[in-house]
Amino acid sequence: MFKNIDLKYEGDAVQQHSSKIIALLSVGAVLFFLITMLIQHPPYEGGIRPFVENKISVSGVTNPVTAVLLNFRVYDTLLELAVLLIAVIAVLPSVNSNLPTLRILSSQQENLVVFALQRWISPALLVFSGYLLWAGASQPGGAFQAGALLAGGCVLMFQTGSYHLNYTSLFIRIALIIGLMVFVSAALALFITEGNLLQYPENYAGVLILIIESFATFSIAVALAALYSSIISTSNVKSRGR
Amino acid sequence: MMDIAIAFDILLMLGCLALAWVSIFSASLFRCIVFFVCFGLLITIVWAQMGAYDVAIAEGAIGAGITGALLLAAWNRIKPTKRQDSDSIEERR
Repeated sequence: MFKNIDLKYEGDAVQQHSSKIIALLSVGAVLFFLITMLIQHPPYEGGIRPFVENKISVSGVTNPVTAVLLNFRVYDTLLELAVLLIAVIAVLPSVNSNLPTLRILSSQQENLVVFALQRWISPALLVFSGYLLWAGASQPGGAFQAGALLAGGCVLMFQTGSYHLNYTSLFIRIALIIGLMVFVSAALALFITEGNLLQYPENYAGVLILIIESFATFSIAVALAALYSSIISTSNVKSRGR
Repeated sequence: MMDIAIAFDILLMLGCLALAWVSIFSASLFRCIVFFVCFGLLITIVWAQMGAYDVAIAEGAIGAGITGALLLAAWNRIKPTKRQDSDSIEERR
């Protein structure tokens, strides 16, 4: 149903000028009220910074951002992962194929620049994303950043045209969900032992966060790479059909 | 010293606004995408300037990197022809 994107637009549905004036007036009115409200509103001081700084010692990490994302407001991160997974499932190829998980093709169009760049940069990206994941406990960094970096490496890898991943294979499917799975099972295990969903015990908080983050990184990287390559691969199929 | 920092911030602001404008109103979709990626990179500098390094890294990796690649892939898939592109320009005028 969505294979041919129809962007044609025939004739005017509404009068151009009047609709422009209406849009201008409504946007202007909303902007005016928003700006006047913002100017009159006194600046909000404090925020949640003192709360976070008071409790940072029990969170298991020393970076306040990671503490909020993976301890105090961990529900948000859990649901974010679920949203990403749903988005990926929506764009995955709908036909199961029996190809092996990773195929190395002898590339038809040898692009030397991309190929050399990929060869040089991939190991560095791998190491750096591992560093970002590890550094997330005490410095800026974390699972999402590391995963996105890894996915960037994967995109570069697909761009050379010599690697092909089968996203409907069992291994990739497990890789896609394992981040969420570890997260949810940790939540359930903590519910049984601690009595509250995702309430980390003080002594193991750091280790638990690191475990959850590492699996999440893996899943995020695979998910983002799958998002990219399922869009790209459909275009390849289409151009071959022409 | 302070003046240079303020001048840099103002330049950054103006650059963001200009890039945001051209990333929406450029003639071709391809140019819009390229400007959008540039806009993401500039926003990365803005976040870093405000001291939010976590957000800056995420924006750099996701906003400028992956989103740009995804948009280009989508562009490659719909491949607006020359005719459609010039039509859309005329519509805007």
